[in-house]
Amino acid sequence: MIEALNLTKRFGRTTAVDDLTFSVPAGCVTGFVGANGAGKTTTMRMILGLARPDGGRVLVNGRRYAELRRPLSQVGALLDAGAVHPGRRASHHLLWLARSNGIPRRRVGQVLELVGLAEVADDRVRGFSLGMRQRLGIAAALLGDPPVLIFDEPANGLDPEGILWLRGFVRSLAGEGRAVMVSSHLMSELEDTADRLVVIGRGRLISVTGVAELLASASGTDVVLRTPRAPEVMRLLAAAGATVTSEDANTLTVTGVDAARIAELTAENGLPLYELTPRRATLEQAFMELTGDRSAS
Amino acid sequence: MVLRAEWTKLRTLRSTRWILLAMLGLTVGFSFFLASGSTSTGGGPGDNDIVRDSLVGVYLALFAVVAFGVVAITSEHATRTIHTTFTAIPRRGRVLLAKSLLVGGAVLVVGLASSTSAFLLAQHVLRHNGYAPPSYPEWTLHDGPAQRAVVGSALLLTAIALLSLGVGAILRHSAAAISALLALMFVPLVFANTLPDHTRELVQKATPGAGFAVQQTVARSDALPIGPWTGLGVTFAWAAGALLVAFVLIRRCDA
Repeated sequence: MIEALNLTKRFGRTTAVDDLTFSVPAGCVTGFVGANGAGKTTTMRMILGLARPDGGRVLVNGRRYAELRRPLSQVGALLDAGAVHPGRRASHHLLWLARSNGIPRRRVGQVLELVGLAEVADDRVRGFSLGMRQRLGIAAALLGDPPVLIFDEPANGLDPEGILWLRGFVRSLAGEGRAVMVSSHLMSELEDTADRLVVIGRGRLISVTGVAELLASASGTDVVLRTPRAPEVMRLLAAAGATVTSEDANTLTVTGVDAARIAELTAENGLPLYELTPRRATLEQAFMELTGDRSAS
Repeated sequence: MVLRAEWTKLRTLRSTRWILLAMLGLTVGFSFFLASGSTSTGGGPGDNDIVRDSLVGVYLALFAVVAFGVVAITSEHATRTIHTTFTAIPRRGRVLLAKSLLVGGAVLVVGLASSTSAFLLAQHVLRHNGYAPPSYPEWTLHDGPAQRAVVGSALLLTAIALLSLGVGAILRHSAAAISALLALMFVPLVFANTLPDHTRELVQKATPGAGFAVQQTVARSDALPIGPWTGLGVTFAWAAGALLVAFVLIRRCDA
């Protein structure tokens, strides 16, 4: 697992990461969310020992990254899919990585197979699309079969099919008991993937929450209903304390009263309903609500 | 493990082969070219340093060696592979050490092949062009001074490669590092004659170019004012200094 404690990083007068404390436990997917520039990548770079914290510390499996023996078998990371020499063949890129951590050579073929790059194993990376480079980066992260995985914006450059594959893949990694950290600037990307969310804004921790809790806490849940007798329904619900807006002749949007109550009221008064749909706030809306006031300040 | 990884990196790039081949070609080619264009009419004892002249290609090989040493690290910065490297091997000093051993080793081996071939070929051509006894001695690889010049040339290229690696690691940028190195080596060479004697000698003794003294076998007016091994030592001192600074910086700075 990963544990960050009061992690702080400054660049000149800007504080990129500000007193950040969170953990990434084993067996689940922790989404790491924040707008672009919120400090996600800097935090991940500190986890991997690429950048030195100005304050606080971050431990991986109880140790500082620099102290890990054979780090690739402890943590796998995809930080920057472009960080590959374009003149090298994909298999050779993984081979030197394997050599650096005493990982057997056959593992190279295995991970290439796993990410669907077996056929282009001997092609030079120069000709790879961004999506293929992402897959190569994921292969590199898996090389040492590590219990902790870190993916920075892994969906970037993947086609819809690739995104779907990635989602299932990330879930299965957590299912195997690994600690998985996935960052994204889009909350919706994590909606079906993450179990819990670490939300940051301007380098500060805004919230650590479950996806379900975040959705439930968000305001803006409303109910859409269709009825041939819209004016009467409108009056009825308004009298019950709801705020009702008319979308068109047959469609109303209701807030302040939940779907069950609406069904009861209309049934008691013999008013027919063609449709009654409770609408959840999207994760994106919940996120905006959470970060809105802070990033504006 | 680190050494094996770095070796895999080096051998899996085509540029490695090309640049080492260029080094060999430039050394032998340029030495041959100059030897072919030089004739001696014989007569009295000649004062040309024909050992040094037959190793003149080493000057051109410098370009390849500087590029090789610099790019061994800056290509990782340019492609951001350096992040992957330091993630896989968090002990960054070991990365630099492994690179030094491999870059130095490769240049020493290819350098020896280059200087030996250049010497043998150019000596043959020079003899044919009149540089022969009694005006000039017949040098072979068994003669001490010739041997020292040939092996020393390979060592000089090795020192320059290590210096280049160090400067590359410090500046992290190919063009900046190559410019700095070429300036350091060729500016004193070009402008030496415009300086007052005392300053010139100082510059010649203290810049990495001092290592070329290892090629000298005749005391001529245009010879470097420093002993052959001392001169080579100066170049190695520069290399050691650069690598030491690089070692400190690489561990301290964010990648």
